[in-house]
Amino acid sequence: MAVMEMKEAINQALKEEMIRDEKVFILGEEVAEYNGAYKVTKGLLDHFGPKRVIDTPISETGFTGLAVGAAMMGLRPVVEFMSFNFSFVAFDQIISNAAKMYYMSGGLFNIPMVMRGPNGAGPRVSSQHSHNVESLYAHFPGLRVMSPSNPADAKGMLKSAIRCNDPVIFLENELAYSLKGEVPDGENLVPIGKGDIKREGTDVTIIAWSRMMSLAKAAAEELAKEGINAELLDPRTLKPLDMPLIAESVKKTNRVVVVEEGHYFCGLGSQVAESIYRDLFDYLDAPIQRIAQGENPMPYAANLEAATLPSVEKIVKAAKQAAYRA
Amino acid sequence: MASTKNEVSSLTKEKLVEMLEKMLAIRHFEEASIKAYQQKKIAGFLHTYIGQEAVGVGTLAHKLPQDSVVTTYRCHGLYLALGGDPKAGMAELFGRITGCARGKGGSMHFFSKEHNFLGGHGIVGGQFGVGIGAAFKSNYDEDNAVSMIFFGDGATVQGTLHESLNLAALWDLPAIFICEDNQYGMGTACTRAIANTDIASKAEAYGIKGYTLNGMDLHEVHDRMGEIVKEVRATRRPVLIHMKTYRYFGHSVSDAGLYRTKDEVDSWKAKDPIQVISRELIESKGLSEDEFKNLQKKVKSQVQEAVDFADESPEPPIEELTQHVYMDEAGNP
Amino acid sequence: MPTSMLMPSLSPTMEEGVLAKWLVKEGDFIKPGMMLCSVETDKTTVDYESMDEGFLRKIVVPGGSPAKVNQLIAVLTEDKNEDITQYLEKALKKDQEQLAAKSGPKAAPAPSPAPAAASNGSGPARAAYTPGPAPRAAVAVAPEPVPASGGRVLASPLARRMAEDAGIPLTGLAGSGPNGRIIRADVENYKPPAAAPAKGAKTEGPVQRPLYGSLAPIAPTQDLPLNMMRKTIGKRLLESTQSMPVFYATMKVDMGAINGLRAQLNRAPGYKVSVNDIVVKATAFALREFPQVNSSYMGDFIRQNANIDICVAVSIDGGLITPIVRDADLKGLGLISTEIKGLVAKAKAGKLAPDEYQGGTFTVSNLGMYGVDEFTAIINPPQAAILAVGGIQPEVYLDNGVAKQRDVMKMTLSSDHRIIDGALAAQFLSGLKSLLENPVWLML
Repeated sequence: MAVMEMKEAINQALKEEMIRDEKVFILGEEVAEYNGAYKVTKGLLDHFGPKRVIDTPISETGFTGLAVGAAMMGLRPVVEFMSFNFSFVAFDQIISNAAKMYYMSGGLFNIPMVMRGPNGAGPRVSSQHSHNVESLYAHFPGLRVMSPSNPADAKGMLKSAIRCNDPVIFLENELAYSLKGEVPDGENLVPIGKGDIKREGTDVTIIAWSRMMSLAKAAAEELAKEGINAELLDPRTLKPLDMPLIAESVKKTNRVVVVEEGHYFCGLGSQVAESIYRDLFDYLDAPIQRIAQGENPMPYAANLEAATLPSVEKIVKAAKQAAYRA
Repeated sequence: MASTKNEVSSLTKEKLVEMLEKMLAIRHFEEASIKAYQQKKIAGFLHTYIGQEAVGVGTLAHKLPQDSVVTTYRCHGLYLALGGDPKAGMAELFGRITGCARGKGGSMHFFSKEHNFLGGHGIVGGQFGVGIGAAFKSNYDEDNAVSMIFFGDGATVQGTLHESLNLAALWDLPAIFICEDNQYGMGTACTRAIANTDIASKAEAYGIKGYTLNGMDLHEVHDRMGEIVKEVRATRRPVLIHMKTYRYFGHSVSDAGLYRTKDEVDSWKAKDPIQVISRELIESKGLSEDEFKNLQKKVKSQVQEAVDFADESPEPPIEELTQHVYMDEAGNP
Repeated sequence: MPTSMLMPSLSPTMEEGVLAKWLVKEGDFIKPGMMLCSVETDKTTVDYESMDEGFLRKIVVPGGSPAKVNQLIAVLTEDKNEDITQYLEKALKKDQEQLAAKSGPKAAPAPSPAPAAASNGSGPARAAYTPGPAPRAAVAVAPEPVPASGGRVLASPLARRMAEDAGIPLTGLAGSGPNGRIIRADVENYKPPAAAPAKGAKTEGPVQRPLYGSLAPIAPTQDLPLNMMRKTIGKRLLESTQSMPVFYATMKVDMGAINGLRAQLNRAPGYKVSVNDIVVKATAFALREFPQVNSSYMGDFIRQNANIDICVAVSIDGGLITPIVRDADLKGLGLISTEIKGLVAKAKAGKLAPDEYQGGTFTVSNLGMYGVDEFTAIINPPQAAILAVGGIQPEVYLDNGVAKQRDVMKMTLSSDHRIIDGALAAQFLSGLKSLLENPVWLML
């Protein structure tokens, strides 16, 4: 067991998988000589050499498409998007190619490719650099979408993603790269599609992922002071959702708050809520509360940015409302 | 960049007959697919290769098993030239389970794993990344393969081509970019879409070689591509090739062809590679008229067999709808 | 071996066309690329190019004739003199069969973006969603509470509210929904247990009370919660009273002619036309004459309605509702009478559809059957007015100094003074009075 930062845990996952399987290689902007824009790929060039850790020019469409072609021919590329905002430039390659190839070839060519990088709000980086992309990619059949909230999960999940034979969108978070946590020794694979309970509770289920789980944890502590015992559920994989785990929790607490960093309308939380309404209608004591980002682009000013994003306060208020203790 | 018209061709009679047969097979397959489309047995998009056969047949004569091929949605011709099964091709057009993509791809998405045929792509320019990815893999595995990337004149102005040329030139990817310039991107003539229509000259911007070839002349295509493929295999440098060719039919079946004159179409038809080669074989290579007729019959009956096969094949079972979305089934949302 | 030429589909939507003109003739040798004929499609006229090769032996569909897609139009042969009789016979027969059948054996779907079959491949199996009321199974009333697993009663939020409003305990209901969930239908179909209420619950007529001077207790003091209907009635009428400047005008009507007419009308088999039916029709005619009274107050403007939809106030269990007779001016008395009877029955059974009681341009409220002489009714916003009708009373009047008797009915119009002035109200009442005193005019 060791304590390390999130980016270190991701680095370890990459390294271990590249040692395990020589078909795995990394490409992206600044991943090699610069050691990664956020230092996630630090030291990997030195270890594996330029054949397997490749600096790309600023050509998202070009290098994402290249990764698709390489994957079709049997390699296992890990594409780094410096941030997922830039993945939009490569959107056609991701949606029309990576997500479709296995299906439209009738099962001839699968795409064992991982696309990873920071998702969501950065520190004061304004509207073009702050997108949350989970609901966009989760929408198209053929892709898996995962988003870890802590170092141990990040490592175990990325290893599983790299071993997966289908394209995976792996969403990290810039503000969380320095989040510290305990990472056990050994493989500790986190299977795709399996969430976990970060805190057991009885009064309300708070579902949150990625950086929002940290906020939810703080909210749970505030709620505990008022005698409200919150259960924290981290789905970890966003698509497919771990419905059995969610069902178990909702049947226990009967109240739900879904917290996401992305915008409200068509955010991934709306699917989480719908899945719960669809399958667990009779177990709901109250309407599901959703906390999400405001319906406006991300502003630059500090106070505005804080106001538009989810906060511990907003989560506490929603939980109380769901539990009829407002 | 010179044509080899006046040089002695490297093609023997046997080889020429073989290639003529391939061209005929493509021609008749495409004609049969148009007919089937008009009988409402095929629906959606259908982009035929009629007129461009020499490009595909002449180039792919040099493909080794480890090489890969990718193209746009005008993909039936290359599939057949590679040795793809016309029965599976026609069944795919008819949307049957026996199709080369199990009825889930359709006309624009023919694939073949055994020939490393990476598709049939629907988005103009979507295939460049796939092509250079295959070239990348060939370096990674050191298997001496090349990657042939076919595209149309319409795609020369899509951003992906330029990103891919840059990456290929930067990283020494053995990719052969082949522009099948049939003069029109759908209904827009090249001169109205491309600022510099000398496509081969764009190679210079990336520090690689460019070649212009007459895509209607099978001899030129075959001989020049033979040299070029060898060169790429040896140097691991990408190249850009401009093949001038023509399609007799519209961009796809729903194209009324109002953007060009009948005279223009007829003038290109006079250079039809199938006409030229069959005449050459009969007049100067000792092929008898009967032998030629028999060749035609053979090809036509193979195509008819493919149509019958497709007609009699069942549609995919409903369960097929949700197959192959993921290779690893890891639970459902 | 002969080849069939079939009528081509030359546009994605084409199902049939006209073979306008043949560009070749029988005996010609056809090559791929030759233009065979001109075809009129559903969109334009196109020349059809041959994909086949051979001698054109027989033209089956002559120029100028219509043909369906895939119909046989001609026969080709490789050999100039090959016999085609048998082949032609078979091909024509096949043609007939195909045309008779609705579509070809393995007809491909019309070209269009592939419609996605709604796939529920992932997720637990769900029944296809069918909107509309839940199936109305007769629900047995359970005398004991019906616990779900864990002792919980499962009920949809809507069912809970309906049960609460109707005063039905949830434990008295058996649920027909999934997992025994109590749903709307279960509440609607609830039959109370055998102990029937003492009187047939007729809401017309005087309420039964114990004898005067009796020491037997009546009901103890109770706090009755406001049900939805009460709440709504209260809210709307309070709003009406507080926000509108209302004035009232009363007129007496000589009912002699109506009494006579009614007697005649009700000799028609199957009809029982009431006074109120006639009042409704007469009101509709009067509104024709004075359309300003058939108006709605819309805040910034007054809407003068073209349609005359008259609300009839009906007393029901727990309150009051106003079903609508639409286009009352266009309907005959018989139809109005039948319609009102139907609406009243539905209202009392609680089965009125929203469009049957929401809307309307004018209201008629009649308390005559309860013995009321006259009263002032409260306007239903956004309507401009409401007519309150009393009972028919005999009275004595002086006709040139001679005392005579007549039957008289008083009607009072409440008007929103933002829309209707005194003079208009008086004119309207006067017009209505004329119609009621000359009811045969209602036949016009």
